[in-house]
Amino acid sequence: MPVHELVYKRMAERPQGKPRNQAWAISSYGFRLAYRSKLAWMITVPSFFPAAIIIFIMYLSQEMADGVGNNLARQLAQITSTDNDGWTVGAAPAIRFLLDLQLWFVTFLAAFKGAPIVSEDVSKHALDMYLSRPISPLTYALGKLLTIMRGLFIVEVLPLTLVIVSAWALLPGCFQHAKPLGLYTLLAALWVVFAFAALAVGVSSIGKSARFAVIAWFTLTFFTFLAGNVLSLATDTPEFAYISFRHDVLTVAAWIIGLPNSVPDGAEDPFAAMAALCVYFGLAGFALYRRLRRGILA
Amino acid sequence: MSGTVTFSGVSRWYGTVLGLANVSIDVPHGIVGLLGPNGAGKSTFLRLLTGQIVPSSGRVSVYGKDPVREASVFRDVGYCSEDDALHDDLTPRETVRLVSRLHGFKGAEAIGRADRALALAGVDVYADRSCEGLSKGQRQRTRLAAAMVHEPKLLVLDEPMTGLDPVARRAVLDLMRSWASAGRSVLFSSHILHEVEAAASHVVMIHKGMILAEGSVAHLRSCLSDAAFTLELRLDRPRDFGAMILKAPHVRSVEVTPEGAVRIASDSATNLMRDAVSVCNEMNACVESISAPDDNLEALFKRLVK
Repeated sequence: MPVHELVYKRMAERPQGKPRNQAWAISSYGFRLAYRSKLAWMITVPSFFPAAIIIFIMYLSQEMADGVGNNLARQLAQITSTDNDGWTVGAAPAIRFLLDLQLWFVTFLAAFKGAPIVSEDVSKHALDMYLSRPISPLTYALGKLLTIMRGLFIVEVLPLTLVIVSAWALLPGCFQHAKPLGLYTLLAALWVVFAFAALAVGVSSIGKSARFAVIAWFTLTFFTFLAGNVLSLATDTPEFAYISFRHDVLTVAAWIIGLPNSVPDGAEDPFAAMAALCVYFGLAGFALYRRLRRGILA
Repeated sequence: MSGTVTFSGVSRWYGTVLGLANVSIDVPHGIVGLLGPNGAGKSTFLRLLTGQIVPSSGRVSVYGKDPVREASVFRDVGYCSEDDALHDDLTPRETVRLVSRLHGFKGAEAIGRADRALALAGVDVYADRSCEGLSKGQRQRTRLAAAMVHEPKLLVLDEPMTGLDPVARRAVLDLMRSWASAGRSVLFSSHILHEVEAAASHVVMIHKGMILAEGSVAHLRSCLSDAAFTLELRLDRPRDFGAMILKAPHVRSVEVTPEGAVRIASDSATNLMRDAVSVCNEMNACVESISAPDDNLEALFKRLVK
C-alpha cells in the first residue's frame, strides 16, 4: 500500500481486555531477545555437558561388564546407592556437586544476559516503551525477573532434571528409599535460579549502561566470593563466608536438599545465610525502586 | 470534562534549571500542536503528561486521572517518545505485538491489532526485518505503530516528523487528520512551524518553559491584529501608492521591490488594511495581488518571542 494512502478508520469497538499476564508477555519477548545472541547459546550449550557426562557414566555403569570401568562408573555415579542411608552419602552429594557446578553457568548467563536487562532499557530509553502502557513498574520488574529466570532455568534446572530422570530410568531402585531427593533438588535449583535472577535485576537497576551492569555483577559475585573465603581463612572465622552471595545461596540450597554446605566448613547455618541474603535482596529491591519509581524516569 | 489534558499551575525544575514555569492549560480535543524552539519545554510538557516525571508543583490530569499514580490512564493514551527506544534484535512486528499484549489484547486479537497498526503506519512492508537494520524514519514509524496499536483516545507524539522524508511527513500529517476525524485527539510537539500550521487545529506556543499563547491559528492572529504588520501589494502605480500611504502616521517604511511590488511595514495591522484600501480607491489603482508575509505562525511566533 502506498504510504500516501494510509488513512485511519476506527476498528469495530472491541474494548481492551483487562490487562493480565503482562509480566509473562514481557518475559516471553525478553527471553526471545536474549537467545538471539550467540553469547547466550555459547553459555547454554556447554551447561548441558556435565549432565551429559554424568548420564553417560550412569549408562556405562549399567551396560559394562564387571571390571575397572564398571566400578569407576559406579563410583562416579553415586546416585546408584539404594541402601536406607545411601542417598545422603551418595546421591545427594553427587547432585549437590552438579548444582554447584551449574552455578558457574548461572553466574555467567546472569552476567551477560541478566545484569544488562534493565540498564539496557535505561540506556536505550526503552523504559518509555513499557511504562507508557497500562502496567505498573512492579509488573515491569516482575517481567524482567521472569525473563532472567527462564534463561537460568535452562542452565540450572533442566540439566539437573535430565540427570534425575535419567537416574530414575537407567538405575532401577535409585530412588527407592529417597523419593523426595529429586523434588528437593529441583526445589533447590529453582531457589538458586530465583536468587540469582533477583539479584541480577537489582544490579541491573544500579547503572545506566549494560557494560556497567555486567562489571557490577562480576564485582558483586566474585568480589564477595573472594572476600568471604579469604577473610574466613585468614582470620579463622568461618562466619565471614556469609559475605559471599554465592555461598549464601548454596547454603540455603544445600539445606533444601538436606546436606550442609561444604565450603568453607563451619559457615553452614541456613538461617544466617538467609539473613545475609536479606541484605542483598533489600539492596537490590531498593536499587530497583529507585530506578523504576514513576515520575523520575526522565 | 473540559478537555483531554489539564495542567494546573505546573512547574518543573531540573535542579536550578527551569523546565516549565507555572503552566495552567486545558488542552482541547482535536489535533493540538505544541510549538516551540529546542529547549522550550515541549518534551518536559509531554513527559509530565505521560507520568515520566513528576511536577515540582501543580497538578497534571489526563482524562481526570493522575498519570504518575494511575497507569490505567494509558489505556486511553498512546505515547510515541522522541527517543529511539526500540529493541534492536526484535522485528517491528514483534515489537508492536509485545505492546499489543501489554495493553491486554490476547492471541489473534493482539496479532490482528499489531498487523493493522503496522499497516496504518506503513511499516508492514519491512515488519519482519530486525529493527537494527531499519532507517531512522522506519524506526520512527514503528514507534508510531506501537503508539496506535490500542487505538487510544489521545495520541501523544513527541517530534513525530523527525527523521522522516517529505512523503512520509505528509503521510503522518494525513494520518493525524484522519485520526482526529474519527473523533480522537492528537497532541504533538514540533519546532517546525509549517508542520504545526498544516496539521493542528489548536496551537500551544511554548518558549522558555512558559506558554506564550494558545488557541486556533485564526484566533492567535486575531489577538495580534493591531501589532506590527507587513503588507505586500502588486499594483499598476507602486511609487504613487507608496508616496500616499507613507503619509499615514502608523506606517514605518515603504519599499518598492525590483519586481514592482510595494512592501509596507506598519505598527498597526488594522489601520494599514483600512488605509491601503482607501488609498487604492482614491488612486483608482488596479491591484494585481495582495499578500501578507507576516500572516503565518512563524511571524506570530517571532512577535511573541520578542
